[in-house]
Amino acid sequence: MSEYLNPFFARAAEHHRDTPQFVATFGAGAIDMLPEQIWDRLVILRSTPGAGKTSLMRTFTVDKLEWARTRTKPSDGLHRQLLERGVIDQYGPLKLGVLVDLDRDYKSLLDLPIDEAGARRLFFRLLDVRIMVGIVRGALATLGRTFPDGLEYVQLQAELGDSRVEALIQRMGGPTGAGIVEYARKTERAVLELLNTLVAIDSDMIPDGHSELYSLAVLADSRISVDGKVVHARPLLMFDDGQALARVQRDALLLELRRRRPSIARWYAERFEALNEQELIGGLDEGRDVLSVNLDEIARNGDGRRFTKAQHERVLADIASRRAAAPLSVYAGETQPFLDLMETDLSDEDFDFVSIVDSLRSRVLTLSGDTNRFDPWFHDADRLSGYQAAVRWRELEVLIHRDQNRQGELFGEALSGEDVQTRSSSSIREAAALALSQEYRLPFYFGPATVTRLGSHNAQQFLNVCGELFGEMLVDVSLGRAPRLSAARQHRVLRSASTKVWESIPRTVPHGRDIQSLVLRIVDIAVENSKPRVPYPPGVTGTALLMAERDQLIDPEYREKLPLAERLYDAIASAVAYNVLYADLERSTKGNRYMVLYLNRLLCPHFGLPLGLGGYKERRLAVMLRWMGGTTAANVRGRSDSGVLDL
Amino acid sequence: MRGRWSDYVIAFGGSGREPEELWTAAAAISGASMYVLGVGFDPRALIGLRRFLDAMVDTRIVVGLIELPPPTQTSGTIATELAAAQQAQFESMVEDYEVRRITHEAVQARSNAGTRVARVLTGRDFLEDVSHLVIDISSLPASLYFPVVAGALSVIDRGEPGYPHELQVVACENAAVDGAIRKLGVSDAAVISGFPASIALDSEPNGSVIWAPVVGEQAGPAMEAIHALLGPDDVCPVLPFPAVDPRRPDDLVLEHQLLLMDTFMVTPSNVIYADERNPFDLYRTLSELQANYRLALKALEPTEVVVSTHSSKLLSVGALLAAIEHHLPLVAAPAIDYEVDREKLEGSEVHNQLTCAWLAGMPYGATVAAGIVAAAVNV
Repeated sequence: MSEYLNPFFARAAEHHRDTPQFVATFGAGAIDMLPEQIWDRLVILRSTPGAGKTSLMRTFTVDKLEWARTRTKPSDGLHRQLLERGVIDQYGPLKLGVLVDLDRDYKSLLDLPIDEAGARRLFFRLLDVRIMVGIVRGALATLGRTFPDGLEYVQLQAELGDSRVEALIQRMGGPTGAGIVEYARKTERAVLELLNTLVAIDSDMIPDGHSELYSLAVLADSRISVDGKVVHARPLLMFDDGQALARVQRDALLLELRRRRPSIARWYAERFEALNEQELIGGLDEGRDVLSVNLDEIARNGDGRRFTKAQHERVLADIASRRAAAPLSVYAGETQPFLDLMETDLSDEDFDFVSIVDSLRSRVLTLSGDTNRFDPWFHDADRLSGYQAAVRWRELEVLIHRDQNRQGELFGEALSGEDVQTRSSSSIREAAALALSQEYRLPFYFGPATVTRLGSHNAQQFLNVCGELFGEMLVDVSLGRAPRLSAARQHRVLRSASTKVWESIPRTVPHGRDIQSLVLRIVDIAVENSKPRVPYPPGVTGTALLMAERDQLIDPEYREKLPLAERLYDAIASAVAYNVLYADLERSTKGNRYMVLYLNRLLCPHFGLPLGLGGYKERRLAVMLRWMGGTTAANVRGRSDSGVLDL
Repeated sequence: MRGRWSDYVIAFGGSGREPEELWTAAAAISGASMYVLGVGFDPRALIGLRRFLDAMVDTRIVVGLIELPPPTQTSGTIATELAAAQQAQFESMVEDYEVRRITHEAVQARSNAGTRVARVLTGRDFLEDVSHLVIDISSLPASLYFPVVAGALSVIDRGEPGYPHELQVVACENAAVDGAIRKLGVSDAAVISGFPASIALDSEPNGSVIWAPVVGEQAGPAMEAIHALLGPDDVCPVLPFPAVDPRRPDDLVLEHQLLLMDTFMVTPSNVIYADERNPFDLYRTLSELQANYRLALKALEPTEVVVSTHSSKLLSVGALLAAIEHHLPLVAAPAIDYEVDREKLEGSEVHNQLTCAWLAGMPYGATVAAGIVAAAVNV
């Protein structure tokens, strides 16, 4: 049993109980993923699981805000961000952040023997009391009190003596905190008893519900005080895991939340779904009433304003450094950031680059023939040595293949050194490096950039990858060596992590076997399209379905006629929801609109594929339907790329 | 402290310890006997029923069928074929008997399926004339049989006329069959309805959460989901020891090493052991665990000890009994589908071991309600 803690696997920090650890390890840069207008309209956050939306929202809860305000320096990233956003000031939190988890017993209400309207009223009542309890807890926390001490000192008072609001406060047990919590206790216990009774339910047991979310009306027009002191922080209601609600509940909640109430900030988070019309919410005006934020999309491509394209990699690197700093320091006296401990080059001592370069060079010279057209390129490559030289010669091989495919330039003039830059790209270099590693059995998956790319823009996945690498570092720590990982060790660990993810799909993801079928067919497409001239650099790692055919697949009547369509629908929906595939909707290509499905980057090492998004090849719905079925444990086993180095 | 099942009656199976002895003893003091079961793809589903029908020729028998949803397409053709074959076999076995059926109905929340079935099963109509109730959990998922057994026990404890007074639970164990069934996917973790948790109440103060997962093979994804739901302050994994395969606890630690030690940060002193074959041993262990924690953490009340089972059916029964007696929440994150390896199934029936635990009725005397056990036999 290890005596060393692996900070990337320990789950304590993710949990709300450990506020100091949470604040210490949160990557403050992630706050920039939120747009500016988040306080006066409904904000809908969507992402795949593990992308960090819960952590992001948890940062705005009262206890985290107060901890960050009082225990971190104003120069610290999180403190500064919160000040800039007007979430805290020198006196305290300015937002009364309450996180309401929707992945609880709400859906169960629909299993009670009551009609849909009754179930909706009960849903609103249960939600109301939990919102109000959250507000009361938050109000106590702003003044340093702990729930349930001091409940009698919490007071809610309608602004301007609004009689309707006063009546609602009364109805929910107010005006004191003690009354509100007592009403909540009665409601929760009554519902809990209903759901848990093992004998027949008597309809008299079912409590009355609320016709709307009373808490919103109350909080919009009332003042909260504790012990006579007014709480100036304004409510911020954050609803998490909306996908756990039934569709009718979700739509009813969103309709309640959309109403403009400038004094209450309302955030709603749900899992992104590729085969669901999530964006359709009747009567909502995108922009004025509601703002949709796709966190996955922003992580990949930036938001075009505050959050830049590469910023997410920096956020991830920051999180890794924060997690690993203390253990590395204690275990090994190491002060370098975690990712800096990943070596980025292959050593001449470990690999015979002289003969590799010789062999590549002569092959490229043969390929180029008698022409001196490429001489400047060769002179340039001859100035390099070791791994860099090997990659360059392999890159030139690709470029020459491409050049020879160009019509009309067969007998063209000599190319300049700059032409390499214009004709090549980071994608072609990546393809060249991968081909080199497959041919000469060299490590390919290594370096800080590779580690962050394998995170596939998903914080949880990134932490798991880092955990595997940290586990390898602990071997060094145990032996009293400096915890640095050579390229070869990183490659071995990352390949193994990839294989683990691939093998875990059936166990961890609904419809996992069919998802494996999908993935294998995408890998087949990748292999079919891996050609010497690399037509889709750095390689194909995705497929695409016409948006029109996607709409067909979403149609339940269509699926009812074709059982395989139901399976394909389930497989794609589940693969995207669980981050096995990444869906890019409405991509325009060749005059058509497509849903592009890319492999999660962490699957690529297992199949020896490049990490760049590269190209995709379209497939018709009829073809994809044939992909379903036939994947069993037996025929999936052994499907990996044998050309990639297994160290 | 003596618990309700400190003394107990169980037939472990095997020569001289067959369940038939308990069935006939219970039937001798009863009217009709009802044998409740589910029939799915699990080849152990009908083992108990067949032996029950053979043994109870002089008794009026009613069969209670809890209908299960058919295997999904994802589960593969083998599971579908097995389920169909077993269903056909069941229908021919019960041709001459009265069969009462609880039809399968879809529920919004999977954790509610068990309470729905329990409410039907404990209805007066369903149990009419039945005084001896046998529940065979061999082919039922935990989220179903936990509420069903708890519901049956609660109506028996009420002692109302017209309801059964003898309750026995039957499970057919077979490690080879377990090894042939692979779990596919994992549902969201949830508290099983019928076993409420105060952690579900925002209006109550936050207390400490102690989680005791009964560790089993392929349980990683489910344990991870449950850990995320509970965020426990302490984790006390239960390992099967003594076990039929003495290496099993070591193998389980190896399988779940990363999760238990690195992710959940379990310390060796927190690991607890329970006899793999005897549910009452786990019941006793969990009873002590919850009492010790509640005493130690009294100043930090409320303390919630939560149990989840990922291992054999027999150990699940032990967890269930502790949950019933001490009001412990049971949490589950069941698999979504199952995949059957037919090759591994072949010849596995020789390892079947039918166990019967007598949970309420004659051996426990008339004073069960007061928590005092009058008589007990260890068959």
